[in-house]
Amino acid sequence: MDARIKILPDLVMKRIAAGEVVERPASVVKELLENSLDAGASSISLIVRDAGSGLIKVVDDGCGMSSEDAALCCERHATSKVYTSEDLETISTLGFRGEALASISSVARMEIVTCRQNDSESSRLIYEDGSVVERLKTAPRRGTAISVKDLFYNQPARRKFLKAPSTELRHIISVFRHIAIAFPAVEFELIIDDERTYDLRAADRKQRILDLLSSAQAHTFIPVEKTIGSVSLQGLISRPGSGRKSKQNQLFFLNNRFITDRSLSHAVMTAYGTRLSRNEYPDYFIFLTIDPSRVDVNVHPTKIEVRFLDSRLVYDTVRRAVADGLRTPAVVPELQLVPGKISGARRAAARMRNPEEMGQLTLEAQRQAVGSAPVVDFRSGSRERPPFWQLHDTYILTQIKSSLVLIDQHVAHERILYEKALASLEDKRGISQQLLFPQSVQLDAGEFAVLTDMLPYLNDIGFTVREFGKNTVIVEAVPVTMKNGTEKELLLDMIDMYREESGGSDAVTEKIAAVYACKAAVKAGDPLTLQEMASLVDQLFSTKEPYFCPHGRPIIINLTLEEINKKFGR
Amino acid sequence: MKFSINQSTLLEALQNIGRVVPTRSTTPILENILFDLEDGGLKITGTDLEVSITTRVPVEQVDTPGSIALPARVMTEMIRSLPDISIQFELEENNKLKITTDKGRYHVSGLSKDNYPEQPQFSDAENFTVPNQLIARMLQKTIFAVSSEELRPALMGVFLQIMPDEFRMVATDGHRLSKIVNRGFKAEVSPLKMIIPPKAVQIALKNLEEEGDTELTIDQTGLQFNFGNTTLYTRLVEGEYPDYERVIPRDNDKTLTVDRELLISSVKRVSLFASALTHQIRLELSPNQLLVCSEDLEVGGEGRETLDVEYDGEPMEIGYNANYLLDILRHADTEQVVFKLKSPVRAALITPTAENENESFIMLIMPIKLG
Ligand SMILES: Nc1ncnc2c1ncn2[C@@H]1O[C@H](COP(=O)(O)OP(=O)(O)OP(=O)(O)O)[C@@H](O)[C@H]1O
Ligand SMILES: [Mg+2]
Repeated sequence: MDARIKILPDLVMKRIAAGEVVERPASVVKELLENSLDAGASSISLIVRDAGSGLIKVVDDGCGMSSEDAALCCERHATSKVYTSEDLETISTLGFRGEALASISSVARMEIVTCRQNDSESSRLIYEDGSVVERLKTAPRRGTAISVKDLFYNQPARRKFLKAPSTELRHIISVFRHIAIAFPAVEFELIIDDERTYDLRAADRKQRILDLLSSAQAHTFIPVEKTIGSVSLQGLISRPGSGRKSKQNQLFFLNNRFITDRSLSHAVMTAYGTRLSRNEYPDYFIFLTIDPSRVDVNVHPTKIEVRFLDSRLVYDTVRRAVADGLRTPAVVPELQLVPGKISGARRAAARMRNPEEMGQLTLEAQRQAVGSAPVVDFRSGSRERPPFWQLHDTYILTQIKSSLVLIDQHVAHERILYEKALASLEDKRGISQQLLFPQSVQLDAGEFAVLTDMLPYLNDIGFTVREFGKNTVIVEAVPVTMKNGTEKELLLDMIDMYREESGGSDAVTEKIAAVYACKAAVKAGDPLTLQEMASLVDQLFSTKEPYFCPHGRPIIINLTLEEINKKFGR
Repeated sequence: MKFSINQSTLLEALQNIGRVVPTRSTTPILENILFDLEDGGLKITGTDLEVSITTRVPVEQVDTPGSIALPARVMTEMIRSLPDISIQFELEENNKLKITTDKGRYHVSGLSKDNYPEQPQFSDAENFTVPNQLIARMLQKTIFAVSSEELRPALMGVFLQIMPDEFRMVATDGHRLSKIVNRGFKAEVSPLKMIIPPKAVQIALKNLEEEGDTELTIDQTGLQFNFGNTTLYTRLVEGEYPDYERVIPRDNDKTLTVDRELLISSVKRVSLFASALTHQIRLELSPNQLLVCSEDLEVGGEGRETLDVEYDGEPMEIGYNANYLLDILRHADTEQVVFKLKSPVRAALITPTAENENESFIMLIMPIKLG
């Protein structure tokens, strides 16, 4: 059979981004896994010992190599993936440089066992310092197994620079995960020091991601999808407030290749905007498909950075896909919506671009009962089913068709007040309740300075705060939306919070609105009457974003009957 | 402990006691009521630690005295569901109470009296007597304005003040205020001030007979109403009541006189179109005419009604919380009411057109400044 691997002509060679690809064990893992994928494997095992410095072995069931190719594959610039300069314009394989095996074989002891579909035997080649030192024939087994032992054995300096085994292992696992996510249809197995760490069946993209994450995160994803011009995007993003604290699941894939791109990360974060709380990092898995001729992956030897011809378009596609995703009703955990009539959600539905899709909460019957009934104790369970329950004076519970809805009373109220305050700041028509007993508030110099900054905005929201002698102010009126009687505490809290939040990129008005909303809202632990609960829910559904508080925490959690049934083993 | 009692007598007592028993408490023992069988009858007590009620009910066939704490809800439900027959109670071993009727036998698990909070004791108490009608009227005219804001505890009660020549009550939540003063009644007691929690006021109003007098016992920390067979004890709210006299305006020079019922029904209708968040309505005053209006910018609803009134001031627009205004109007008991006004950001003074003998009654409402 013909040797398919050729040595690239000089001209092509020169056009390839030069540089070292084997920096650490994880780089070897990446190159070997990519080769297996390029070989069309449907099942790949990765075996690692001693964090990769002892052994890295990749076994695939791909196309294999002829014995001639096997002898050639560790030459520099030996590749079967591109032959001409034109090929470089339309790269559809992960590898194209013909460099990886050459580099690896020169810094480790390597062994290749490979066999094509109809070969009667496997070729086994042992390399040392980049050259074949032994050739054997063994029983046929389709596919290729490449073992890399004693990495950097001949380069003591590099070996010394390896990080702690745990760090190197972490890098290996992250490379493995990225590749496993990019190729969900391929089975992957990872064996670390004889222990099987991952065993991934062929799956679709979402399932593969869920298989890799802890099951606790499973419910928190929103699918996104968008095509603009030549750019199409699919992906999963986490709901704001899912409480992620690390960036390790912020991944972009371009044509099945894991890439990093700061401008695209920025696009995602812009779309999340204020929905995220401080130090919250959403998870996202974004898969871009772009004609290979419109991207240049030949920028960096590790191919992890790419260049987009239409970078603006790609940026916009990402930002809009995420923004749209965050706006869909699916953002409420599993909210099952039924078409129906209710008064509470009517205003909300009217605002919704697609009310049918959104459906309406069937609260009507429940709302009729609101009024005279006493606060119902959730534990005691009364005979008639009450419309709302308050759980631990913190959550409002109610039912909609086929599920239980939990509403966090504080964040719900916060969302309401936030939007009110923002509107007042905009039209400068905050409505004030005048106080019978104006409150004088004594501040320290620092607080007073902060308050002076805030004053015009506070007055727009509906406060009437007057300076009254040294570091003292008098509160004569408060926004009508404020709870009775907490003027002084509220003012002090707001000053504190405003001071902490300074910096930040939000507009002052947004900050003021957020600070006011957070501090003036009912707190967890405040008992509410049925009437108050009903009115809160009503108002919540007339806000623009009933599902997330200004800090990005979820307001509504939906527990479907299905889930509950499952828990009870029905 | 063994006795029998009529279902209706017992149920009435249990329902009254039930008014203080908390439905959910971090101290579960409070969800119980205490039965004390004494020589004179059965004493039933309920408490939430702030307010306690004790009622004595007559029983038949008194056996040995004894006590037990019983779950309030179960007992009340149980007794409620029986017809008006005689019911036998007998305390058995292990705090089990056997309830027997001619048809059935039930066992309720109780707790020993030791678990139940002790009744508060008075020290240096004084007693005085007030006419039921007087105290009921004054409590009714003030309780609605009590604050529910825990951050300002002193406002969370009706302020009662006894001076040598007057008896007064005040309540305010900082947005409205009600003050009623009676000069005809002379209490045989040294001058005193106290703040009574609203729960006690409500229960007192339920227990006050229409006629007759009620004896009150008071010391530094508590107040007790002695209503015949029932005593109601409440701890007093601690704290200094604010200087309300200072905020009552003296120079409101514009006078609006309006038919009370007409205004109530106008405000009720118009407020249906007010924002659910603010309940804000607007009064537009012009000579002898009052326009009551509201709009909800979000839903796009609006309401307007015109009323013929007596008004002599210059035209003015004032916003109010409709609920506050309605509360006030409902408590003024003459056909017409008088608003004394100054400006759209100052307190309005509302009074009935005629005063009862020896009485002065004013209410105050703070406006909502229109944006
Ligand atoms: N697992 C494998 N199965 C089949 N063929 C393989 C496998 N690994 C390597 N090869 C062959 O060896 C060649 C050289 O591999 P190598 O990784 O060095 O270069 P490349 O994949 O072509 O380019 P790059 O340096 O960008 O990875 C490949 O082009 C391919 O033909
Ligand atoms: Mg390769």
